[in-house]
Amino acid sequence: MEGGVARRREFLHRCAATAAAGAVGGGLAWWAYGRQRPPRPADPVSLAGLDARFPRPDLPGAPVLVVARDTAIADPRGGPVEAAVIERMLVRALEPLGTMARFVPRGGSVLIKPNAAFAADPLSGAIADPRTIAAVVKSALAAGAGEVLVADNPIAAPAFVFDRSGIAAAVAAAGGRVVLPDERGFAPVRIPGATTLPPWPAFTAVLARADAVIGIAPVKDHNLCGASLTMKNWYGLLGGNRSQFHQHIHEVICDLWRLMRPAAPLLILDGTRVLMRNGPTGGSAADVVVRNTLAVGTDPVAIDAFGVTLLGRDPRGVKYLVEAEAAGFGTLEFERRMREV
Amino acid sequence: MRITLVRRLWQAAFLGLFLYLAFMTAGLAARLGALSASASFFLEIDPLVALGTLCATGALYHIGAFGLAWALVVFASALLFGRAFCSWVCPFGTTHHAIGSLARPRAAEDRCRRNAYRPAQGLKYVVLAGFLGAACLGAVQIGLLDPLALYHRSLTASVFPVIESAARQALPGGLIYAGETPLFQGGWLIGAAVLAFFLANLALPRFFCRVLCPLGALLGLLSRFALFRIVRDESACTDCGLCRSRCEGACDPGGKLRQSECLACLNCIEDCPHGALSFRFFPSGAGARPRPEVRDRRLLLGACVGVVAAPLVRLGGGTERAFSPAAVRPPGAVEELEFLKRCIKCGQCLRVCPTNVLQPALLEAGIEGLWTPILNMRYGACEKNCALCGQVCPTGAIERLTVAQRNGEAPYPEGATPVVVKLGTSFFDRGRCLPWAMDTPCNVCEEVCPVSPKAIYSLETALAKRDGTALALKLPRVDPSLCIGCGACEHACPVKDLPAIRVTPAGETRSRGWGTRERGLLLKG
Amino acid sequence: MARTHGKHTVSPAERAAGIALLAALAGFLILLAVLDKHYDFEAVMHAPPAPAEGADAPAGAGPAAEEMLPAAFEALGWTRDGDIEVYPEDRLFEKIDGADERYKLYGNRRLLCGSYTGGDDGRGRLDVFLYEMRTPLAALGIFGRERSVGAAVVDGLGDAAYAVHGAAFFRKGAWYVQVKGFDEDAAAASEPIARAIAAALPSGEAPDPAFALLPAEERVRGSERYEPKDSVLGTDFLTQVFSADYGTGGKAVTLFLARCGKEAEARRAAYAEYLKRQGKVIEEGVLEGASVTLMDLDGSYDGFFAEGEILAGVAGAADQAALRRLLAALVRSVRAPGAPAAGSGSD
Repeated sequence: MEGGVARRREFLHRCAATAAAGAVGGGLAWWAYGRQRPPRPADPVSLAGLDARFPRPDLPGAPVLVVARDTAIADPRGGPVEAAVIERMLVRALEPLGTMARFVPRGGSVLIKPNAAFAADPLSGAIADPRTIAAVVKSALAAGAGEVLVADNPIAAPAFVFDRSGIAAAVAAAGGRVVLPDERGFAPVRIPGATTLPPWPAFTAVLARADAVIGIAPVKDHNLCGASLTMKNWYGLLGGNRSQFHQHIHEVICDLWRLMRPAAPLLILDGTRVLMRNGPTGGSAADVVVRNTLAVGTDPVAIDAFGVTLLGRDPRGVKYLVEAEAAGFGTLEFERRMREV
Repeated sequence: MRITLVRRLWQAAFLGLFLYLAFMTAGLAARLGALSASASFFLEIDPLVALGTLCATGALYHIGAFGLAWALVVFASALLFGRAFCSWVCPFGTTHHAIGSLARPRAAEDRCRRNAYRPAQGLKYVVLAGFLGAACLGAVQIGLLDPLALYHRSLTASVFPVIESAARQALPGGLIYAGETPLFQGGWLIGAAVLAFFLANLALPRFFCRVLCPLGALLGLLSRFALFRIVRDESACTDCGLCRSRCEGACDPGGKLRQSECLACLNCIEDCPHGALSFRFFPSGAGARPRPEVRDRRLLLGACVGVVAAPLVRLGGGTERAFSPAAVRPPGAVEELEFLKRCIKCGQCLRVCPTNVLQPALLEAGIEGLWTPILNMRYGACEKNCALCGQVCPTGAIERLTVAQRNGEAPYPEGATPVVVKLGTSFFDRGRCLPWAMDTPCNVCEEVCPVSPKAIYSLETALAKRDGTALALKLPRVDPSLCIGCGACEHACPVKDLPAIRVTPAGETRSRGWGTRERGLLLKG
Repeated sequence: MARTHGKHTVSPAERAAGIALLAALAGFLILLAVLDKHYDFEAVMHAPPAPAEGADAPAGAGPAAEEMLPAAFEALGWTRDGDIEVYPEDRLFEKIDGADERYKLYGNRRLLCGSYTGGDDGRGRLDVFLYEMRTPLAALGIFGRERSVGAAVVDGLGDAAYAVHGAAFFRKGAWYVQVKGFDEDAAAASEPIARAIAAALPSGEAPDPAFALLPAEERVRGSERYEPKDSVLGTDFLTQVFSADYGTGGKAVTLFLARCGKEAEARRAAYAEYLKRQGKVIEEGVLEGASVTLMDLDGSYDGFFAEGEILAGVAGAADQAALRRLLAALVRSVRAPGAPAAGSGSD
């Protein structure tokens, strides 16, 4: 009889094991069967929420463009005196716009997007001056920013660019943090109202984190679109096969602003040295002219139109600026809303 | 009626069905009113295909009802009857079984020796662990050794072409086929591999099934739960060992039964002179070894090798950044990394392709892409009004598009904006092109371009010949926004060895996902 | 063969099992032959016939182009430069590049363009774009889609109009019109010229009865929008969406409803699933007799429900009180007796 009991127990055990194996297999299949989706990439995300996090106070009657000029600050290897001059220019220029405090949420995260496209010497005028970037970092921290991230997705190898240009060192010394692009930090973004750009991978790791955005662009000649200024600068927040942009460069530049517009970024045009020709890479000191000028503003068309005049050209000759004005992004008649300090 | 006879009828029926379906998968033959189910049936009931693609994609592919969920049928059969699938249904197993039977020695002693258990039989579990480890990291390689995928690929790329070529030689006129015999690059290699497996039966019956088969290993692992088993009546057994004389699995039915090796062929019951063996519901588990005899450490090692191998074969970046210009994928193929998670190299798409343009890749798509389908325009060109390859794909590596969806006339998936499927873009090699380099009129490419308006157009240009006489030539060009990469131009180009116009995957639509536009060409269009 | 192993006797159980297995095999093969439908050859080898054209009237049935874009608006002092340019739908991109996708999405017939000069010194410049859409609903859709947030509503111009940066935009019937000035003179003239054009355009029927299902009180004038399919969230469950903005000052709240046919409940579930990834559910309860879901999306409040063939909801309310008030109004409006049949299209 004992054998019978043991046998019955074994029978129950084994039936239970088989049933459990069947249940596990069937359950797995059930789960996996329901999970089938067409193998499409993830839905693009929307960055539309960028504007809501830090509503900037309106400042009625504020200019959309302020230009500061100062004494010779031309040598980017210049010492602390020259850096201090740039910092002073920045403070002066920001005054009529309501100072940096208007653009920086207290305790918030600030993203600075400098033009760091190439592993170039700042002397070449092909990238934003590290001293200007450092000045903005300091200013943002002084205005109460919780953290200042400096990020760009350069054309050239990112780590080398930030190092070679001196931007990494300058930012670290000023208390900011350089964030290097990495494919995990990019996600496709749908650009509201885009005419040309389909949903495109953008540097969402920093964009989604930032409460406020500041763009710093040098004033450069550009072989294809005429001039590379603050609007063109946003190119560096996108990833993917950007070489395709050049097929419709003007429309794409306008779409870049459609992406950034909700963030209402502060725009800084670094006209200390201006790359007059052979842009956007430069490479010869003969291509560069010293202008000792810093422009800040909120109107991308106005500030870039002003930048084109630094290149000694007619803003209406730059197609994307004309298109941007027609799209209502700003005014080419920048003199009317400009203030010089 | 003896049960082994019933088993042989089952085997014959499923082998016949498999061969028939594989043969009839050839696109146009199936249209002649033949049974139009495809051999996908066999791959869909294959639990290894289901599990392998599940590990990689986290889902079971199905269009309409069941799809890969049919594998539950075989899964359930293993829970009830162990590896009965191997000796009752599997057509590859049946073929091995038959070859092994033909080579059976006369002396009973020799027979029994060949069917003794060998430790090498543990290898297949390590193979399985390796494949599943790699699959978990997105590299599905089970098709290399999955018996059904392997067999189908071999039939398509080597066995059928050999038979067809021979039949062509022997029979007058094109009675069997109206067209060319489809040929496949590297078919000899695929053929040699399967031939080696067939011949191995002479040395060891069912060598593939016992030693290598990862599907057998998977079913073997499940068979520990089997409720029906061979059971030996120890009081009746005289240890004569005759039960091994036709034992297909080498599972030691006369001793402690190795449940994971037993194929439930039931020969031993018949061969036992004392009636000591029977196949029963719930015999006592006391006299059997339920688990395979392979050390856990080995399994772990196999899995580790698989896990390491998956990123290792991708280190060159050939599947991503440095993608190959030769790997043009069929219409409906999903984005490359997703494709490699799904393709089991079964070769049904190769078989169904009416133009023979689909070819098993050698190293064009990387070592990982061995025997996955690519287009080789020297064999044919992709027919614009055809989407057969996606119809037979059992795992969704090639999506089941209709012609309308492929040509951008209907949305895919439902509700999306219709997209014209582009396989790549044609590029002229002006140095080899007759009009461009040799002042010779040609423009065959323009003539055969199937899209409307034509993606290849030409501008008449006034030139001077060598002797100074005037010459007006039409010089062809490609409009990349219209080109669908079908390769009609490349196939028709009179410069046959290295055509003067060639398709590469640049601009293929399958890679235009939000995250990966690396293979795109045009921003718009 | 097996006969040599002939000592084996076949038991009745073995025979029965054998017969059963043979029967199963035969049954399987017969089933396979009967259920033989693996290829859909008609779909695979033949393209389906082209979809039938909509039953709408042919292009150009309205007034002549010259009536709408005269050689000169004499009273205003503006003259047209060159001829009127006409772009049918398939060539729209020649004028507006990739923006043509938007127009095609709604259904466009053609675009008429005229460029005018005038103003005090005769050097002002102004472009007029007349888009003839396939239906008044399409015109409403593209009008709402292109509208800038916060643009000033202009009264009495077409069916709805707004002005921004010296440009005037309006819709009337199936027409959507842009009058874009490029300088101060043109900015001043854009609105009168828009009125002159509106007078020449034919009226159309009301865009769609679905808008009557959105509550009338608190609705921001001219804020009605229509999306044939979701282009904002990129989802596939929000199609045929009718919406309008509500409330005054601050951020506008959007009330929407989508025609879903029999899928209303499924789409509600899909929408809920989508939103749950963005925020958290506050409440799933009954409001005014409808089963509503209230959500907190990171400080913005959404609510929605399915009713009959309609999925409707409130998006972007500033607080819960506003959400409940607007959602209740929407439920009442959708459930109101005598509301137009929700499932049918405009006729």
